[in-house]
Amino acid sequence: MDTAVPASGHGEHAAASHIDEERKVRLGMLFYVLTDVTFVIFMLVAYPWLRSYNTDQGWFPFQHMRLPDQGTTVTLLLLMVVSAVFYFIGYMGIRAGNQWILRIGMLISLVLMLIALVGQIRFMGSQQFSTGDGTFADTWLLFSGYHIYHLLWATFLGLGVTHRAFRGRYTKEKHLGVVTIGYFWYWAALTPILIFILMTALPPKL
Amino acid sequence: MRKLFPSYLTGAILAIIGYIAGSQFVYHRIGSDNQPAGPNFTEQGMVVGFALFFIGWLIGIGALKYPFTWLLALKDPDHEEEMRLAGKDAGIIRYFKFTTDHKVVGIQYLVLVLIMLGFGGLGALLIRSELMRPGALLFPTETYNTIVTMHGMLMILATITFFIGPFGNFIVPIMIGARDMAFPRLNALSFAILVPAIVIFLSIPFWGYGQANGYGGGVQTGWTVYGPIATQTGMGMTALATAVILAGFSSILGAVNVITTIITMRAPGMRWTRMPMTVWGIFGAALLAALGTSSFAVDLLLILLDRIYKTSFFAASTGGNAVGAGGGNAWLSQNLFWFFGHPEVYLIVLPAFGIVCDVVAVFSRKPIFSYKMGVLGIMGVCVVSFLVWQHHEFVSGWAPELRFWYMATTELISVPTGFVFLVLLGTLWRGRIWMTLPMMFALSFLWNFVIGGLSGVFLSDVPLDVQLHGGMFVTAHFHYTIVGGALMCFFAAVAYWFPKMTGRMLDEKLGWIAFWGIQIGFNVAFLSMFIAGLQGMPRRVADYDPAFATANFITSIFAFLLIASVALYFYNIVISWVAGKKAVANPWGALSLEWQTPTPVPLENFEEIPVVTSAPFQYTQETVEAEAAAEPAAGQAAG
Repeated sequence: MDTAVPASGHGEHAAASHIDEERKVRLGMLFYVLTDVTFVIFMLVAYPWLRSYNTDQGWFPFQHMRLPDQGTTVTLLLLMVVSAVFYFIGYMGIRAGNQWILRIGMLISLVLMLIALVGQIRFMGSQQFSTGDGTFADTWLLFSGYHIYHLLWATFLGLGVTHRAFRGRYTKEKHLGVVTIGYFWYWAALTPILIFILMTALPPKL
Repeated sequence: MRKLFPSYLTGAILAIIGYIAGSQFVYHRIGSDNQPAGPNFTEQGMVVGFALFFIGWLIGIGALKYPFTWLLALKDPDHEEEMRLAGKDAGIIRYFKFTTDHKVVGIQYLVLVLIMLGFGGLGALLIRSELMRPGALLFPTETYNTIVTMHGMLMILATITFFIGPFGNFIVPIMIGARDMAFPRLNALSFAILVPAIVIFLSIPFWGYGQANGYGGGVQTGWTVYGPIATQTGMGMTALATAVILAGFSSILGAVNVITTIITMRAPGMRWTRMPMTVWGIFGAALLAALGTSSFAVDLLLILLDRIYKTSFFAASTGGNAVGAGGGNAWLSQNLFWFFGHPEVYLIVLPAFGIVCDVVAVFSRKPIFSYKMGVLGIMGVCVVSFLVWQHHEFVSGWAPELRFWYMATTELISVPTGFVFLVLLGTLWRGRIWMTLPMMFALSFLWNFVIGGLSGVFLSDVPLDVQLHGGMFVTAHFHYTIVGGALMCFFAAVAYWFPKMTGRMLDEKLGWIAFWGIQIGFNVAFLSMFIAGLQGMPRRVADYDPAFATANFITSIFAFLLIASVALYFYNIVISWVAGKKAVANPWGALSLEWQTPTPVPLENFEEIPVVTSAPFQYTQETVEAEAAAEPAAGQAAG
């Protein structure tokens, strides 16, 4: 392998000259989210799989068992969607150079995320069924648990990005953190929609 | 003394405190009994303990400092601080800290991998001692099964790591002309996650023995850990699942980093078609790790939930809260496992393909024959590997109508593999072969992997697989691919890059003795195992019919030779590292970028980022002739 003249000078300046830092960070975050997407897909596979086999009628063993309340499910889902919308508004704000739109957008999206987190935990704990009550109950609790993990992670990231927004750490030119955390935020909002579609498209009771 | 705060020492202390706090919290505040219908508090305590063990470790080594700096919006570290974190002027202590320099992380991985291989080899020694003669000789069958499981899983973890870890970290960034990995902290974190994973894994035999309740000790499932057997086996299973989920997380983070580094950090002029084959191999493996590992992680997560919370993902009936509860399906576990489990073989082998291509090109003094065909071969295997997993379930009863399709795809994968072999043979053809230790191991890869690959074609064939499934033929086949293929290539890679990584030459004489011991020991042991398999001997048994005695005796004797020779090779690594001959910057006369840097490699690799103007290994007739004229000097330099 032949090498010719050096590309540039020493240290981080040399790196900056030929490496697109923004592309690097975006790509890294996208790949990270992609690995989470694959995890969710493999988890979701369990639902139609176990439902279709319904081994020993164990999918939904108690016909009198109450299903999770649809109204609460939709409310929690909408909270996530609206949170993602406010996140996007905040992002558009900083893209236009408006610090206040960023701050308000991030704050509202974080608060909504926190409400969704608390609501999801309460919702999970208030079901009539628990683990060991058939595979529908098990998969529902699995998805809820993983969703809570998503919400916890998103809350941590949201705290950081909101705090930094209020400290003026993002500018019109430099707001990569808002962009990349947004990838996870939107994915965390999309996941319950996917779960909802799956559980609606395939009604739990056989 | 201040240098030890934070370090692995403080990490270990906080990890132990974390484990005690977590497990005791569960036992004293939540529950300590283990009712058949309720949660299993004993193992819940274990998992919470492991979680705090892990978090304590990360806090203790200082890995969480930056996330909280970011959270609190404190000042971002400047270049000087980044260099300090990378171990600048830290001396040898930087190998025992959370260090971001990719070369330090590469060395850390290398040492950990050698330790893992050492423990895995110890398992092999115990297994072959037990199987030397018929009759249960050394261990109760439960203990034997635990040893088999641990040997299998630990070796798989080691082999998944032994290319991407040491060489993907140390060599790849330099090979592509980068100063570091794309995300240095993530890189250090990947390694930092693997350490507690391995510690938890090695604790498996100690869980559950003598427990009045629970499932007893060890893990008796084999490395495939199928549900619901995994739910019914010893408490070690909980440690295994936690450890492997952590190792998988480490692998995913490492893979994301490697992919991003290769895509975005290449030096100017380093086009995709100018990357060394090693980089292609590691790139393909990283893609497999990023996309496939989650499947196994989900499998293990469901196993943990089945064990601890009495869910029933895999068991038809669990004795849960009500009569009739259950509904689990064992095929789900098998599919989740093998969707990862088969690509995982290629995850191990793809870097081997790339490294062997590069080593053969360097020591044949020729450009790689049909470079693009080699790349097509590697990436072709990468894609097709996701379409073959069902062949592991030909006899499981699941979806028999899919057998033909999966037989076809499995046989199809030999086509891109064949491309790589054609490239290797074409590169060797009329080359000026230099028989060094790396080259010999690379050539042994050719021989061994052909046997492993061809016996794999047998197993992809449904009628034959129905006969051979679950027998020693399968064990011999995958040992030919993983040990004969990948491990030989790992030894080649160690010998080849040892001078760059350590600044010393590997002792050739000891290396050659070990090489021949390894080849003879390995081939006789596993050819003999093929015979035992064809005779009908099942795998994973501590005792067997005397009809298989001769084949097993031969296998054990030559396995001991193999293990002793590998131990000699390890000894050679240690002794050469400590007191080997000093290496010059480019002892092999190689042309790729890592050999154009000084030895030891400076902290930022290159004083000035190079501009690449040609494809790798552009040996010309003139350079080879010039080298031939100066051969004595070159030989001297190589030691």
